[in-house]
Amino acid sequence: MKRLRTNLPLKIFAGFVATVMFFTAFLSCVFMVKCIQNDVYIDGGTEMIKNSFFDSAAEFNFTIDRALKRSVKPFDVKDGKLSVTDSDEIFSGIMPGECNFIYTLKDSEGNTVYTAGEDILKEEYEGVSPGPRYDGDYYEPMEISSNIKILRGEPFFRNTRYTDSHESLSESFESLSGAENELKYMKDMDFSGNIYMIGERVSFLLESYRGDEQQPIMEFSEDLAEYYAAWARNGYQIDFSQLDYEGIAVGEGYFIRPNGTVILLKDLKNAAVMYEAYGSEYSEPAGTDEELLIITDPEEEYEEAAEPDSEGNYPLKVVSFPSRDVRTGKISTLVYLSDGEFYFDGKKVSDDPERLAELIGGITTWEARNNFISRMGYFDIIRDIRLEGECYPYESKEYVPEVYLNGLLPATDSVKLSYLFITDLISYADIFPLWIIVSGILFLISILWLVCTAGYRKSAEGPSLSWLYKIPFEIIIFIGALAAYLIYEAYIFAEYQDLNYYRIFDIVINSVTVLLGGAVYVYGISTFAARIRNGKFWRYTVIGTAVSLGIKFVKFVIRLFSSIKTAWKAALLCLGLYIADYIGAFFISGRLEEFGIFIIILANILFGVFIVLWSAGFTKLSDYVKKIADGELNEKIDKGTLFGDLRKTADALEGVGEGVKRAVDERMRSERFKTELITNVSHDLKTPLTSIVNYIDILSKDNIEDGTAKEHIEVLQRQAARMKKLIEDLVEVSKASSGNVSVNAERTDVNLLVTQSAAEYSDKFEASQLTPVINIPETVMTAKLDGRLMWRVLDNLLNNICKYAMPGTRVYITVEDAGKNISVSFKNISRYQLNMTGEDLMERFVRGDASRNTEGSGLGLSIAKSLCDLQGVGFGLTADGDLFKAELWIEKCGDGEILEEEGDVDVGAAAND
Amino acid sequence: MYNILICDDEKDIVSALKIYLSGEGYGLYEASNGAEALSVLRSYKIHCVLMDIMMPVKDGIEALSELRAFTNVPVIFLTAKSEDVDKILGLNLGADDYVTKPFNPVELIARVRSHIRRYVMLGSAPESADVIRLGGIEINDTDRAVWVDGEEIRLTAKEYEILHFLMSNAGVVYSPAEIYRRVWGNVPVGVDNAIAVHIRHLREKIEINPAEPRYLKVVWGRGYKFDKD
Repeated sequence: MKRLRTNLPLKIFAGFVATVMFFTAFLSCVFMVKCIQNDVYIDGGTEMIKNSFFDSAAEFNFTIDRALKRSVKPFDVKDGKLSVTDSDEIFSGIMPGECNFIYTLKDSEGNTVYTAGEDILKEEYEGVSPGPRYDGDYYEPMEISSNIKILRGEPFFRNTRYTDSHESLSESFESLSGAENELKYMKDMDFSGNIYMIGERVSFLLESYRGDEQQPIMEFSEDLAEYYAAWARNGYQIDFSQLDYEGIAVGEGYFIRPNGTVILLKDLKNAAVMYEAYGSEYSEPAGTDEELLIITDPEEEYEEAAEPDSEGNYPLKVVSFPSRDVRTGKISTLVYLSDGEFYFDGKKVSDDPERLAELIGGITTWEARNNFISRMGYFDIIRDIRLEGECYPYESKEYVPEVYLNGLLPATDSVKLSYLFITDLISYADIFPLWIIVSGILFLISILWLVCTAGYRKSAEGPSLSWLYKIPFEIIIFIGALAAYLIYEAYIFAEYQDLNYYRIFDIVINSVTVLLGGAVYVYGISTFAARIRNGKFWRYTVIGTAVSLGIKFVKFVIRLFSSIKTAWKAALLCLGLYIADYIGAFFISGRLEEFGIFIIILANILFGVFIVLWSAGFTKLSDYVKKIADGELNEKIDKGTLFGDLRKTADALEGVGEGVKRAVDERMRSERFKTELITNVSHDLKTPLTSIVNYIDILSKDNIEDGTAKEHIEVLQRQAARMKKLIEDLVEVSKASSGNVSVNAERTDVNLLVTQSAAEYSDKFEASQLTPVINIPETVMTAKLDGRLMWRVLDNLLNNICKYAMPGTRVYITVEDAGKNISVSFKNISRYQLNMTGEDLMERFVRGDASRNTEGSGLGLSIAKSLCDLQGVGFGLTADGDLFKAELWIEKCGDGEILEEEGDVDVGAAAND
Repeated sequence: MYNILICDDEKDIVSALKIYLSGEGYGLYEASNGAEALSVLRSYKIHCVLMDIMMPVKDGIEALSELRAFTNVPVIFLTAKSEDVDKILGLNLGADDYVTKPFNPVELIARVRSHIRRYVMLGSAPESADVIRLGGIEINDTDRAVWVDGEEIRLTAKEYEILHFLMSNAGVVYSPAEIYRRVWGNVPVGVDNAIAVHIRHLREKIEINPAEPRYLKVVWGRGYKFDKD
């Protein structure tokens, strides 16, 4: 399987098969459609040709209409020959050429009334077929022989000429209102638009094509288009209420008023009004009838009509154009009246045809000249109408169109080629559906194979992509879209064009297009499958690449930004704010004021938010530092909202905190270890000491006569007791200094505490020949203290005094209110000379007597100091000469403060286990 | 004759204790560890046990918890461990007293005597309502007599009144001023020192070791109380 799916030739083969099958299926589809479409061609293609002629009958109609209007004399088929009996102007515009057919119209009596076809011939057949030849004067008659096929179209009705059948006209009138003089119009008379009337008089004729599109043959103004639209909307009834205009100008100079009055062929007054409105000049040509008010304009021509005269007859109609007299160079108005007379510069010129021709030639532009001539034509019609009667509807006549087709079509004739091609195609018609199915299945199998194996390659283990499959997918999509368009074009070509052997080049081009398009799709499907399988679809797209590059760029910018110093960042941010403000100001000064304000507000809000967030982060950091400084080393920084440099600083600070905590822990551990060691050693020392003390005691109770021995025993007793004291003090000092003592602070009466302590020593003072002078204020002073620990402090101090005070002196014990604190001082005269400061005295193993021959460990003051520290009590020693002073500063406890039991602060419980 | 079991792994200390205690006329048994002590206790009638804590085989704490299962003989821990926590632990486990090494022989003997007396007298209810007995202290308000461990001691009138007052309200802490007000019945002015001295004297008379009183305790900075237990 693995070998199979990595087999490249097999894949290429599958791709080839899929492409070809796509193409053949497409081709079969087209051919099948063509066959179904052209089933009618089976009769030899004549039906097709007929249809193509008669379907475009509308195109002929115009020509026919004109021919009819111009009373073109019909062509004749005489003696089996079709000949042009009159080289009428109808052919004047038609280029000579060859044709193999002639289109004719015959009326109900069998008279050929019209013939045409050369123009079609020219266009469609490129002059490849023989036919009647135009030699300049007339068309060479074409033999109507067995070779000539006559194709007969559907008979149709057509108006031929004006009649005076007033009744028939009236029937086809629809009155828009009952009033006699209101506007009426005659319905579409099959061929050319409408006749509008005032009363029963024909006033205006509009020509238009028959067919879906009402296409006027003359130029209309936009107003007319509007009018037509309104007209069509109302079921071909005029509803003036829908018109915004004061009137609607129908064509140049024609005007319909909302009241239904049609100002046709110029109501002079209204023309004047219009002119006024347009601000144009107008003048009155001299020498003309007073009733003929002629408005002229150097650039535009106007037709005018006077009011009907007293007898109800219409006055003369005028066509006026600015014209240049070629003889004199004078520019004046050439006027054509509906009675057939021409005037120039107020002088009648119609008697002199030469002069008239000059003048007509002098009409300044070709456009104007053509207009002039066509207008003359209208006048002819209108004149006819007026002369022949009041209303002249067209007479409707049946006509039969016929096409004379030369049966001697050459082999290269496109009709014949089409015929042959279609005939060949139809002979294979049964194969196409089958082939569609077969090629469809083969296509699907090939595609399935490609999809299943796409992405597997010999060179790689898993799915991988060759360079061909790494082309940006958007390009493939683009080419695919292009291919879709081209295939559609090919289909359109195949369906609407006559496929024949003559067009073989076009067919090949289109086939190649379809083939290539199919290849693009096969490749597209295969590569899509491979990309999906490979899982790197987006990587090989322009969008994907752009996105990944964008992400890289953003990351780069962020990295760049984070690598610069905080101050620079701040500067950049400020710069950003200024730029945003500047841009905002730029917009404000321009037209986008709101946008500018929005930018400025947004930028400032963002900046403000940033500053606040940063400050909040900074506060966090400073709080943390404060906590570290206060010794709260277990605190952590909540880094959730910290960002950028703040976060980095937070990490660093936590590192500092960790370091400090580690150092403190280390210190604590070593202190504890020391305390533990001392405690344990003291235990071990105490056991032998117990025996020593006891046996000395027992010894001392023996009857020893020897005085020296007794003395020695006393020394032993004293030194053993000292040793005991030393060991106990040692343990205590190590515990107190390491904070390994539980402090149970309660509200304590300091006065009472001192009194109680002094009372405990009353006997000792006496024994040491000291007189205590105790000064205690009357007001009760309380503090938060551990009474037991304070007693030990005072015990040490008082014991010190008893040991070192000069016998016979006074000891002053004073309690004083010292503002926030309570001061407790002990003053005595030292028995020994104090050669050291208070600080020195607090050191361990330091005693007032350097010789160390007295009892005491030298640890008392140190213990007292440590215990005071534990309770937050200030402890100071001063030695001024022989005056020794110990002072405690105890923080007062407010009277209002509630006495609360605090939990034991048992720092060193672990050490005592 | 009362029997005392001395339990310590230090032979010299046992010997010294025997010297002291034999002088008082007690029957003495010895053991060198907790296990031995337990077997002695099971075999003989013992009235007081002096026991070290740190001993091989079975330490004092263990032995104490085991012996409490079958006897309520007073046990005095005699140990080098002087920490407060050790004392509290020992007493909580059911030891009756705790004496730290190096000990004062006189104090130790006094304590032993006190405990034996209490142990022997245990269960005998006071004869009348006027008699208050707390621990080893008994006072009889009828003849104002005070006995400490069965020995009558002499107190001054004020000392007696203070003791009586505090014993009547055992466990309650009284400030010197309050004591004065209740005992003297006067308004107390500057009497703290006087009361403190009185209490000190009283303590010297009723306590075995006035520096570490068992009954009359100083609550530093607040006052004094007679301990209930």
